[in-house]
Amino acid sequence: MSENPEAAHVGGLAVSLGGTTIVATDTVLALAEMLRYAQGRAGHWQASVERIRQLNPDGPLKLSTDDPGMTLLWAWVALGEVEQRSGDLAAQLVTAAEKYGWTEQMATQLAVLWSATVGHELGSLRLLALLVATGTVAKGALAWRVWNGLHDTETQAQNNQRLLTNPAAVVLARLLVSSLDDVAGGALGVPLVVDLLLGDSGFGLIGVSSTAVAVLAVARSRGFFQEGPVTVAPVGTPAVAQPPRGVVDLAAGIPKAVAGRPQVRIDKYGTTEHPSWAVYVGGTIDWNAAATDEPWDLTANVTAMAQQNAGSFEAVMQSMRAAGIGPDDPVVITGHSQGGLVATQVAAAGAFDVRAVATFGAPESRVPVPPGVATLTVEHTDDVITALGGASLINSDDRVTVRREAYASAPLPAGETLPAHHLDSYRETAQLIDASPETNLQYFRANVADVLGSEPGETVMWRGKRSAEGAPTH
Amino acid sequence: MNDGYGILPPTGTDQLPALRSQRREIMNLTAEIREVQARLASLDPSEFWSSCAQRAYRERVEELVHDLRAVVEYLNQAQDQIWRNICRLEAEE
Repeated sequence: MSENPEAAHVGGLAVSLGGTTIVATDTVLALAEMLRYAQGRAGHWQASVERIRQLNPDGPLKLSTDDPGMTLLWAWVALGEVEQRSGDLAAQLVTAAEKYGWTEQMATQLAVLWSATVGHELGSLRLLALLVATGTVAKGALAWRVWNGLHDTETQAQNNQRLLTNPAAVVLARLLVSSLDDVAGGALGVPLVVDLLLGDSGFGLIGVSSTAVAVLAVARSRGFFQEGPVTVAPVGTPAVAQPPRGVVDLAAGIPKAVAGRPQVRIDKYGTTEHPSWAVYVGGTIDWNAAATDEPWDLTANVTAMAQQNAGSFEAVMQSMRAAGIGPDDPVVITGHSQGGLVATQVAAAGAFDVRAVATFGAPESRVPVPPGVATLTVEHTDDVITALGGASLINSDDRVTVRREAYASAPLPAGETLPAHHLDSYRETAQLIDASPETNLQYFRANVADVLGSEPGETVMWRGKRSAEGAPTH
Repeated sequence: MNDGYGILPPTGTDQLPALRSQRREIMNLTAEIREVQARLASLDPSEFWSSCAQRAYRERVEELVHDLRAVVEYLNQAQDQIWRNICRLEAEE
C-alpha cells in the first residue's frame, strides 16, 4: 500500500535530502542514468559518423545517389536529435521527482496543521484533556499496546499486526502524536493562533517533547518511568573488526535487542595517534513502564523523547569515554530504534567529534544534529515506531532520508507484532541502499569510509545497567 | 594512382581499402547503437509510475528508440552504397 499512487514503487527506495526537498526512487535515478548514458553515447556516435564520413575517398560530400556521404550526414543529424531528446528526458525525470518531493512536503505540513487545529478544538472541549492530564499517554500506550499484542489471541494479534504495519496507520499515528500538545493547549485555553505558532506547524517550541515532559511528570508521580544512574562495563574480550564498507555493514554492526546482552558495540580503527571510532547502539529491550536495571527500556524512550538524559544515552556516553574516545577523535555512530534516537542525541551533545550518524527505524526527533554531520535516516513507511516522535519536519542539507515500505508486497510473517520495525527488515533495506546509484547515498558511504578507513580494527561490546533503587533486575 | 597531394584523382585501387575500412567502421557503430536501442526499449517504468505519467514517459522513450532506428537505417543505407561502390571498383579492375 502506498501513500501516493503516482509514486508507487514496490520494494523501492524513496530518497530525500534536506528534509523533503528531493524525493527520487532508485528506479527513477537508474532510468535517468541510462538516458544520460544514451545522451553521452549519441554525442560520441555523432563524432564517429563525422570521422567515417571524412574517410570517403571522394571527399566527405558528393551529391550523388551512390555517395554515402549524404546518408551519413542524415545519420549525423538524427544522432543530434537523440542526444538532445535523451538529455531533456533525463532532466525531466529529475524535475518530476523534485516536484513530487515538494508536493509531499506541502502535504505533510498541511496535515500537521490540520491535525493541530483538530487537536486544539478537541482540547478546548476538554474531552481529551483528561486523557493527557491523567497520564494515559498516547506514546506509552501505543508502545504498550504494540508489545503486549503478543499476549492477545491469535486473531487479535493478526489484526494488530495488519493495522500496525500499514502506512496509513503510521501517518495517522504520526499526526496523532504531533497534535497531543495542541489538545493540551486547547484544554488550557491557549488561543489557536498562539498554539499553532508555538507547535510543530510553527516554530516547534512546543510539541512532542513537551508532551513527553508532561507524561513523565504525571507518570513519575505514580512510580513509573523512574530513571536512575547507570554503570557500564565491557563484555567479553576484544575481537578483530573490519571497517564498514557500506550501509549494510553499519546495520549489521548494531547489537540485537536481547535481554541481558550488550547494547553497545564500539570499534576502534586507525592508528594509536589518530584513532577513529564506530559506535553501534541497539534498540529497546524492555517495554515495561516500570523501570528496571535495563536502561534500554520504555522509560528511556519517553525520557529521550522529552529531550532529557535517558539511561541509554548516559550508558552510551559512558561507554564511549571508557573505551577511550577522545573529544577530537572522529566518530561514526549508528543505531536502531531507541538506539537511533540516542545516536542523534550523542551527535547533538557535542562532547565527541561525530562525523556521521545513521539511524534505522528511530522515532522522528527535533534534536538538532550539528551542521556538517552527515546524517542518514532510514525509515519504513509501515513502521509505526518511527511515528512515535510525531512529524519532525527537520530541514537540513546534511540529512538524507531513505523511506521504503518493507511489506508492500511480501506477506507479513506470523508471530511478529511489528515486522517492519525489526532490525533484520532494516538490514534488507540497507542492501537496497548500498545497491542504489543515488548520489547522496554514495556521498554518505564515502564519508563513513573517509572517517574509518579500510584497515581492520578492534571491537569491544559494552553493557549498561541502571541502578534504580529497588528496581527489579533482568 | 594517388599523387599524395590531391592533384590527381584517386584510382579504384587506392579507394578500395578506404571504402572497406569505412564499411567496417559503420558495421561496428551500428552494432553499438543497436545495443543501446535495445536497452532503451527495455526500460519499464511500470514499477514506479502509473497512468498518464507512465504513458507520457513511455512515449518519449519510444520516440528515442524510433530515432535510433532511423539512425541504424541510414547507416545500413550507407553500408549498401559503399558495398555497391566496392563491387563497382572491383569489377572495373
